[in-house]
This record gives sequence, C-alpha cells and structure tokens, in this order.
Amino acid sequence: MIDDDAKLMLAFKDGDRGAFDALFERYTPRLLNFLTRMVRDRARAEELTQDVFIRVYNAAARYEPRARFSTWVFGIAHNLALNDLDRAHRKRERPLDLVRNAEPRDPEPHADERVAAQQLALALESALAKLPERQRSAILLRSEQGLGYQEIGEVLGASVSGVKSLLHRARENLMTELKEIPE
Amino acid sequence: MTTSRHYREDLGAYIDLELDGAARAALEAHLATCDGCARELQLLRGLGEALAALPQAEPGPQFAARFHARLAREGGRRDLRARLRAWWSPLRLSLALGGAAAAVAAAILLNPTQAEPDPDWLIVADAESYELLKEEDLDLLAVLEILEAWDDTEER
Repeated sequence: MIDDDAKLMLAFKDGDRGAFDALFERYTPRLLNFLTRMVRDRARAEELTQDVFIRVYNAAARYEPRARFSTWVFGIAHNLALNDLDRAHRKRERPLDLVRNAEPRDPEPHADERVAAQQLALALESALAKLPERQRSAILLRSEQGLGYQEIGEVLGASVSGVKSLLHRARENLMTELKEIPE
Repeated sequence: MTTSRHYREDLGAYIDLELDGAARAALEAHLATCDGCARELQLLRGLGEALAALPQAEPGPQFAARFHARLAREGGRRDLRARLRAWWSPLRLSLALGGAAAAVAAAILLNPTQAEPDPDWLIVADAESYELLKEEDLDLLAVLEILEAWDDTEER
C-alpha cells in the first residue's frame, strides 16, 4: 500500500510541482529537527536539510515507492548526517542553542518549573549528543519522528531485533546520563 | 526485588507498541509482580515525555527562499552541463577525427616511405585536450576555455 507522501512524490514525478512543495513544507521541520540533533550544528543542519530535498527533487524521474516515503527520506538524511560527521571529524557535544533560546511550550509555567524543565532539556540534549551515532539516530527516529521499528531498521540497515537492541541501549545510556543530574 | 534482565529489553518495545501479543502478555504478567520492572517502565515513560518535550528547531525565515534559489542554480548548472555534453560529443568526435586525419597526413608527408603512421602519432596529436575533456566534473569555465582554444587553433 502506498502512503500519502509517496503518492505526493509520484504526483511530483508526473509533473505536479505543488506536490513537491507540499512534501517540502511537511518534511522541512522534521528533517531539520533530526539533522540538528544528529550533527549538533544548526547552520549545517539547514544545509543538509536542503541537500535532502535536492536529492529528492533530482530523484523524482526514477522514483519508485518501494518503502514508505518517510523511510526513504530519513535514510537519505541519516546517510548525509553520518557523512558530514565523518568528514568533519566533529564531535558536537555542547548543548544546542535550541534549548537556551526556546520558548516554553506551556504558556505560563511557574518560574521554578520552567527552570527545572530547561535544565532537564539541556541535560537531555547533552546526553543525546554523547550517544553513539546509530543509537542517537535510532532514538530520534523513534521518539521525535515516530517511525516504527521496521522503518528504523530500513533507515539504519538493521533488523527489527537490532533496532530493539539499539533503542534499549540508547535509553539505558540516556537514563545513566540523566541520573547524574543533581536533584 | 531486582529488575529481571530478561524483560528489560522488552520494556522499551512495550511502550513503543512493538511487542507482539504473546510477548506483551508475558511482560504484563511480569509487571504485575515485579516492582523493579514497573519502576523502570515509569522511568522510560518519563524519558519518552522528556524527549517529546524537547524544543523544536524552526527553519530560518529565508530557508525556503534559499532552497529555491539553490535549486534553480543547481538546475541551471545541470541543464547547461547536459546541453554542453550533447553539443560537445559530436564536436569532439569530429575534432578527434580531424586531428587523426591531420596526424596521418603529417606522418605521410614527413615519412613518405612509411605506409602506416606510427600509432603514437595519433594519440599525441590531441591527447592533452582529449584527456581533459573526458573529465565529467571539469569546470564549465575550463570547458569553455578549451573550446575557445580549439576555435583559435582552427582559425589559425
């Protein structure tokens, strides 16, 4: 069964430019979030997000919906992120400005709750940054992007049981890091 | 009571709704009797909520405009490359044939007793330009410079 996004991609393949624009709008925030946390560099993540869409655009003529569209797109993003990290030999473990500059999701939280939430977010960002790349990719694809184990396996080139194990280790590592935050 | 190692890996899959019926039922039965695993499950749920509450990255205001400008640039470059390639292939062939003919003629003139020219002559005649033009990633400017140089040679 072809998912809605794959149908849009097929429409784009048939010349419907609006279908590409719809995919661009739908996937920009998702890819940007994923790539920002993968490469730990906001400006670079924007460039890589654009790289993904350039590849999607250029691949339209030969596109065949063999997997869910999201699986395909995040597969491209994952590979670009790994290449970027390899090429730059960068380890970006500093907390992202994303947390410091973020508006609270709860409109009027109490000041102490807000501080605690920000501390937790900073600690979590830092813990995510310390994860091995495949574990980080797996947990982001699951928790942030809502991909299923089968899909994550297709993105990472792993079996479903391999994904289960990767996620288990990622969560254990995150919990270990978070336990070190002072109460 | 300690957390059962056997079930720990299943806890994540349980909250992700990725456990099949039998494994799910077995884990739920275990959770009813194991405080350690029940506590671990709560911690994992808390972690999931914290991950879901992380701030979202928003694209900058010029993100879409920059993308479309880049797409247009790349598209233009690709079209030009394709046009150049289509235009250049027959030209290159004719130039190569012309170069080969000239080399043969020169070989015969310089050495009228030798019926067959030295094959090296044919390669030497335009080897440098030919090798350069085989490069797929050759910069457009470089291609144009080579073409101009060829034109100059032809005029002379």
